[in-house]
Amino acid sequence: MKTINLIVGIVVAVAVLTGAAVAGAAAKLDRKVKPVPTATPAVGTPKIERAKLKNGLDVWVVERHELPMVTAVLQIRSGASVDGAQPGIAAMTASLLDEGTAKRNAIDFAVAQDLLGATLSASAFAEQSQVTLQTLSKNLGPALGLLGEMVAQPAFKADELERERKTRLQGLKQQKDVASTVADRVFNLVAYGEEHPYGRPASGTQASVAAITRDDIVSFYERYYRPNNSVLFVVGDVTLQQLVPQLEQGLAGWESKPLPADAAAVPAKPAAKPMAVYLVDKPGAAQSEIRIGQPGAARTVDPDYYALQVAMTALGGQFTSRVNLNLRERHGFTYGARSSITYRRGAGPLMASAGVFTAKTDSSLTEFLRELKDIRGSRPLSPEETDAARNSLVRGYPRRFETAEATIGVLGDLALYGLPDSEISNFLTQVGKVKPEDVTRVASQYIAPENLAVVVVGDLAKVRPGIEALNLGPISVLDSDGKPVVAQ
Amino acid sequence: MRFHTLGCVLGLLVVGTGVADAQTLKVPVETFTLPNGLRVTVHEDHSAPLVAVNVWYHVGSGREVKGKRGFAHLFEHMLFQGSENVGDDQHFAIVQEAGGTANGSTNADRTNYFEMVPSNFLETALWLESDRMGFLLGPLSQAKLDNQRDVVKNERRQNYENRPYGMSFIRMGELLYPEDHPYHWPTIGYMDDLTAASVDDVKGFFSTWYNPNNASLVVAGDVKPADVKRLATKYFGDLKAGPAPPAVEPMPVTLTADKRDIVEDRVTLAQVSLGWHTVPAWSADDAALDVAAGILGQGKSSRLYQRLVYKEQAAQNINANHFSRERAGSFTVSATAREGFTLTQMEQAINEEVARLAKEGPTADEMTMAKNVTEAQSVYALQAVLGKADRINSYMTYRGKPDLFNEDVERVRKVTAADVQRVVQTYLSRPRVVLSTVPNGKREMAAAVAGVQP
Repeated sequence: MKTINLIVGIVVAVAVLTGAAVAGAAAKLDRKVKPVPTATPAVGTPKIERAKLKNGLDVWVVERHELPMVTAVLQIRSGASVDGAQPGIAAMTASLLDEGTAKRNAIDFAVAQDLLGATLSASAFAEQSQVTLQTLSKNLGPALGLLGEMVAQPAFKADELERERKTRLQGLKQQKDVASTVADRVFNLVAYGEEHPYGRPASGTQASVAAITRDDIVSFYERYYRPNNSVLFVVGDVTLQQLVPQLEQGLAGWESKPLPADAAAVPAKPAAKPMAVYLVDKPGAAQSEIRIGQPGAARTVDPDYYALQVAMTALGGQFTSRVNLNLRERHGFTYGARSSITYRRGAGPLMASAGVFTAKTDSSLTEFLRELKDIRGSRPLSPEETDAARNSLVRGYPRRFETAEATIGVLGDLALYGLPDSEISNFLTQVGKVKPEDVTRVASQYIAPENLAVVVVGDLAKVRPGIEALNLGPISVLDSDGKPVVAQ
Repeated sequence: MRFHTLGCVLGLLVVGTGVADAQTLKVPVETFTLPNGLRVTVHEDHSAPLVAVNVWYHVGSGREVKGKRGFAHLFEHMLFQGSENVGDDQHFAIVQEAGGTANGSTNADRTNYFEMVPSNFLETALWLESDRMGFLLGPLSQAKLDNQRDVVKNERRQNYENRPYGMSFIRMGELLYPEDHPYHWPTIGYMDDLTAASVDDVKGFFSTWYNPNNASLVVAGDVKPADVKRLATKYFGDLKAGPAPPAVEPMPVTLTADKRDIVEDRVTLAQVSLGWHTVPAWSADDAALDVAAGILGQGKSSRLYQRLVYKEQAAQNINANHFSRERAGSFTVSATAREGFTLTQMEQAINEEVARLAKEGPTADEMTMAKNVTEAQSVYALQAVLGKADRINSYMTYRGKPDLFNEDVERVRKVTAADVQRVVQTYLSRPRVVLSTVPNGKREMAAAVAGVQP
């Protein structure tokens, strides 16, 4: 029997004793003295038990018996990045899983869930699709039965598909009302190009969603929704021994088959493009939504990954990061500014973003670009900033296992990116080793100021002159789908 | 249907009782009151090496005066700008370097502040919270207030002005409640009022409301009650009590006639919202109204979803919500019409479904769903220690007891089909607000049932 791995705190507490111990309540409290933390608690990492079902599905279980509930996530290792010429098909397929099964229609399925108090949902992300279940452990059997219906017996009935299509077509129109959504969509398109798997909109386009047929959906499901393309993570009040027979029953009939070559493909990083500005008009908008970035980095165990974690934490990963302290706390341009790398199998986007006051749009761009450049060397991270970011990541690690869903997030990354279990503890040692010069090195390697895509969605009559005066590069005006607007 | 009654509910130890499938939430808490009136509650949960520190002040935007609306929330921002012994912008810096998270929020009735840190940083978190409770004003400056004023104005732009239907949320409150009612104006406030806020306002608000005897501290997580008691006494014990906070009384409102209004917005699809007055939180009919909202319009099993979204495919989305607060409650139902359908059709369908529920009452399955969803959600919410701490403080602040977890679920379990039918008959037959949100310049798209023009 395996024991729980204990990671002893790596952060060396700067435990300098501050003079004599306070003698009883009579001593005056010196509030100027910041309290010294007590000994770092041992951090237990989840003990993962594994089994393989007869159909080839890998099952990972982490037992947690504090509460009478179970959370399960089925990860299918293909998502919107395999949409190909049919943007939106991964998202539609996932949505339709609970819109009617071999046994019941969409409403009856919803009623069955609510009678159990269980929640089931399915959605597609860039590189995976997933079905999530939350249930009281007393209802685990019937709840897994519902999960099995969604995964192994979706009906994809024509009337349910047409209903879903209408909802999505209206939803795509509504997305155009939301400036932040438009900005994200246009950024992906201009940073990657519409031919790239990360450039296409995961929610599709009016044309693509209108054209997808039932045969297309069934074919997508048949190709990718396979046990040998999936992992089931279960965390909660259950054991592997209890679970396996219920899964064999609930997922009966769901079989492995050879997978298409692109099932878990690693898209190539697109060629760098010269810096350019892309504007989308939103007349009357109270704010401008800004996105600045480029293709960034893939999730690997390369040492660069840990240095990038420290760099992005310090640059824009939390409240006290450079971009937020600058744009929000120093200048008051925004309610919040941030930057991040969204890791993927291939180079996921490195992007800084904020919604800023219309009148401060050009000033905000200047400050964002200054921060993106400075961290590369002209104003490198100080030892104190590096310590703060490292400590934040290392000491904050236990939060990643607080809830079942958070724990599954960590496990899901191991499975999706093919990382070893040891990565959970390696993360702490590797991040603990990052030095200021490592941050400068990866920042200058991964942030290329001459290749940034700059997207602004706002009231162009007001913001365009200021942006032009910055002379950042060629300016294009796009519509909310990212298509060029012909000059009048 | 999905129920929002419980937001998050506490309980580390949950034991099946074997009675009627109900699960009892066992909630170990210890409470004590410091001589200055600060109430302290400790909840032990050693399942992760984390501790949540959560402070509620029993003051919200409802206490603001005319011309200073939005001030309570702007004030909340100032509590992150440093206090006498914690440097400028150091609050977040210290918490984040400890590996923690921090935030605060304001609503009409209360303001909360919270951190979640590794449990060995408990003392740091208590030091931070006590310093801003006792020593906020020293380093306060006009420049810091001006900066956060700009930030808050951007928060309003981002979350209301630039968000589809955001201004309609504000308008609904203004229509439901008379001008001098604490729920009339939005917590985010008005731009001119934010401009008017002064450093003296900050000082006055602090000395009136931010006193230990108007606050409640909850420490939940990997801690020992004895340690919390020692440290809470050390850091909060010498803070001075302030004037006794006034009692909070319900302020019920009734409309004498329907009110209809229109908001123009940058939206593609028009939306109609109906609003009725109900009862304050925790009063007798509160839980039955929560159940009614779930049955009418929460999730795919609800009546309005089945009719308007699924069968007729006329609405893009629907929602019903019972929003019961400390001093009054309201019940809202909204529907967003798809292209080719009108808000009048939406309003008509809502009226018909409300009338049907009033006439026939809920089905047995609907009652079972309501109870089972509530019970399950009450367990799911126990995973996160910060959510638990916040729920304890809600019980403490509004009800004076920290451990009402079972009572909270129990009051839903006790609701009968007849109760649901009765509250729908009683409250949703009263005069209502009908608010239409339409694309700019398309006022003719507003709902106009039975020839009533807005």
